[in-house]
Amino acid sequence: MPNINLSSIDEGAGRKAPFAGGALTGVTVVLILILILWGSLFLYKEYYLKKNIEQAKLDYAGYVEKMKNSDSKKVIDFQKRLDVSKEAIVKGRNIKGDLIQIEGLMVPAVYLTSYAYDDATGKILLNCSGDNFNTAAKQILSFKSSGLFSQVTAGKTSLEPQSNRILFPVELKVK
Amino acid sequence: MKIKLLMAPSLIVIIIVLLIWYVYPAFTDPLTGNGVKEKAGELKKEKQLLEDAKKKSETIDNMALELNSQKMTSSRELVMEYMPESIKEYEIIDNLNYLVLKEELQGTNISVSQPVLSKTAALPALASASGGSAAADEEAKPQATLFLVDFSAQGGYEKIKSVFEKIFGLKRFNRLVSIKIDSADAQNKGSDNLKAVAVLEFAFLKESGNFSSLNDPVFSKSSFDLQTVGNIEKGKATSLMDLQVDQKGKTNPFIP
Repeated sequence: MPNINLSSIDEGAGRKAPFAGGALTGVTVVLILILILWGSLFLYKEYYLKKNIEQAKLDYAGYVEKMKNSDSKKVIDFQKRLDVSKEAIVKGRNIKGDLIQIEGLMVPAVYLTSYAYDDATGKILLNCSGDNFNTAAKQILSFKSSGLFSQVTAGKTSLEPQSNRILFPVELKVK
Repeated sequence: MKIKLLMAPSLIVIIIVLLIWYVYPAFTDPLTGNGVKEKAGELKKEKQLLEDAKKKSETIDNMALELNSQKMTSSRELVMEYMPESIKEYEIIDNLNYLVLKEELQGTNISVSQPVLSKTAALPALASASGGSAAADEEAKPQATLFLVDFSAQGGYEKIKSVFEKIFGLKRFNRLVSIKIDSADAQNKGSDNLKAVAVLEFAFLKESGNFSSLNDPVFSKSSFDLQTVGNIEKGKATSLMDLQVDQKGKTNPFIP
């Protein structure tokens, strides 16, 4: 009698499925580790990071409040006053220096009829009176050759009939 | 068996889904800033701010101690005189008048103009080195209020020269805006009777100690820059007069 195998059991049932056993366990372990990691991240964020951030903010606010109520007001005011004064002290011009320079450059036969200084333009406008055109020219040359001014500009000369003197303006640009 | 076969791939899919949708966003989420990485960064930043605040608080305490000390009294008074808290026009009138009289000149005009709003901000403090934004720095910059004083005096050349030197040397900030010196007598040009008409600029700085934030550039300094005090002491020799009202009270204010 021929041997007929009527068994309905799959031959593969006796063997382990590819994902069964070790592989499945490995995947499960990885899943558990991932869940633990996720939970840890959540706990770390909620119970350590956020709590510490809040605490740091509170402490910071405390320092700000402390500084508001301390002598900081006096310190800030004095420091700002010093800062403004530091800028201010280098401003301004002592015209005595300019006048002394002009004194040293005046030609004997010439005198000033007016002196004007404008800080915005940095220019000195002199109205001079000379006894003749020659002295007027010498005076202009004296200013120009001094090297004390960055620009020397002579204006329109005129003859004053009453005194018979030459009037001439000179504009000096201070360095 | 089929369930067993499907379980492992399903778990792998679950792992991938968990990693992409839950674990990675929990670690870092730049959009909401709610990830652990972002929160750790925020904590680090907050701790740095706190440390900074602690240092600044200590610095301010030390500076306050220094400011309240006896040796700083004269420096404080000097700076308060140089850049006072208010206009103090009476002080300017009194001091200019004193200098005019001292030089035996004839004072013809001392007029203090009230400050115009647009005239402020011409004396900003040095830009801070705090690294803050330009707008914030601009906001924090102290600004002095400037105002003009018309001043005229008459007399000899040497005396006029001397009075302006003394005004320049006043221990209160002032700047010569413009000046014109010419003959006091138009008919007698060339004489030593001169008239000086000048415009001077003075300034004051309102009390500016209001605490705004710890980012104020003032807190970037660890001590007072007293070089300015030295510069005022060295460069400004004309002391300010202390004005007193003396007597006051009158039954009829219309009678001399």
